[in-house]
Amino acid sequence: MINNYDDLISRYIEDDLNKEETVSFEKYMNSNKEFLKKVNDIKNNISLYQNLPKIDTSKDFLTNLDSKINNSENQFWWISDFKTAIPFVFSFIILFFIAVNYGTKDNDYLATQSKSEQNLIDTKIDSLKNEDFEITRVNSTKSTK
Amino acid sequence: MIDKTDEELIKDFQEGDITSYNHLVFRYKDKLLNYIYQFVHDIDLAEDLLQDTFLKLYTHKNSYKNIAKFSTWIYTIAGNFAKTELRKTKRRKTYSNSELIYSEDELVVPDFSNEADKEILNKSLKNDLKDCLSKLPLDFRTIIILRDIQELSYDEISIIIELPLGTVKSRINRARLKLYECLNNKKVL
Repeated sequence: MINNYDDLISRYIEDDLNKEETVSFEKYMNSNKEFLKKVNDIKNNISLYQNLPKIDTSKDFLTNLDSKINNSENQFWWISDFKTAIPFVFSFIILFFIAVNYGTKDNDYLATQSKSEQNLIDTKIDSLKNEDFEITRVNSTKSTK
Repeated sequence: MIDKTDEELIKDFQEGDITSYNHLVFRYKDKLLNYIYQFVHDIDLAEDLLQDTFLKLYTHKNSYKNIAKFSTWIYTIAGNFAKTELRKTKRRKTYSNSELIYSEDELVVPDFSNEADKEILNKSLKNDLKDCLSKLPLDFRTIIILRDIQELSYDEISIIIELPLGTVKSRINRARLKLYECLNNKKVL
C-alpha cells in the first residue's frame, strides 16, 4: 500500500521501482492528470539541468596552477627538509639530555665526596681539640699537686 | 596513459610520476569547474577554488587511499572548498546573494510575443533554473548538482556526502519536488 506517490516520483523516473510499485504508481498517475503533469515536469526539469551550458577553464588555468604549485613548494621547502632532519634533531636532543644529566650526577658525586672529606677533617679537628683539652687538664692537675 | 583508470593514475602519481598528475588535472578540470561554479556562481572564483583543489591533490597525494573511487575523493575536496567559500560569503553579506548572481541585462523581464525572442526565452529559462537552484538549501542543492548536473551515480553521491543510499534517494526526490515548486511558481513550465 503506497501512501504518498510524491515520494516515489524520482524512483519511477529512474526506473528504480519494483514491478508492483510501478503498476500501482502508473495506475495512480493515469487517474490523476495533475500528478501526471507533475511527473512529466520533473522529468523535463532533470533534462533541463543536465543540458545547462557547461563552462570551460580559461587558457591561463594550467599556467596559473603551475605557478601556484611552485609557490607552495617554495613556501614550504623547509617542511620537507625538516621532516628528513627530525630523526637527527631528536637524536641530538636525547644525547644532549644524557650528557647534561650525566654531568649533574658527576657534580653531585663530587659534592658529596668533598662534603664527607670536610666532615672527616672536622672530626679530626674536634678530636685534636679534645686531646688538647685533655693535656691541659692533666698539666693543670700536675701543677696543683 | 589515457587508457589508465583514475585509480591507476593517482597510484602512479603517488609513486612520483608527475605526468599522471597532469592527466588527472586534464580529466577533471572542466567537470570540477562546473561543479564548483554551481555553488559560487563566479567563474574567476570557481577557477581559484579549482586550483586550490588541484594544489591539494598535489600536496596531499598520499591522503588518497585506494579504498574509494578517485572521483568521489576529488569531488569531496572540491565540494569542501566551494562550501567553505559559500559560508565565508554568507558571513560577509547579510542580504541574499541570489539576486547578485546575474548581470542586469539578464534580469530584464522578457517579452515572448515574437517568435524571434526564443533566445531570450532560453536565457530567461536558464536564469530561472539557476535561480531556483541557488534558492535551495545547501544540502538539497549539493545533491541536485551531483546527480542532475554532474550525473554521478547514487553510490558515488552517497560516499561524497557521507549519507546512506536510501537517504540520498529520498533527499534527491525532495530536492526535485522543491525545484518543481519553485519553477512552477515562476511559470516557466
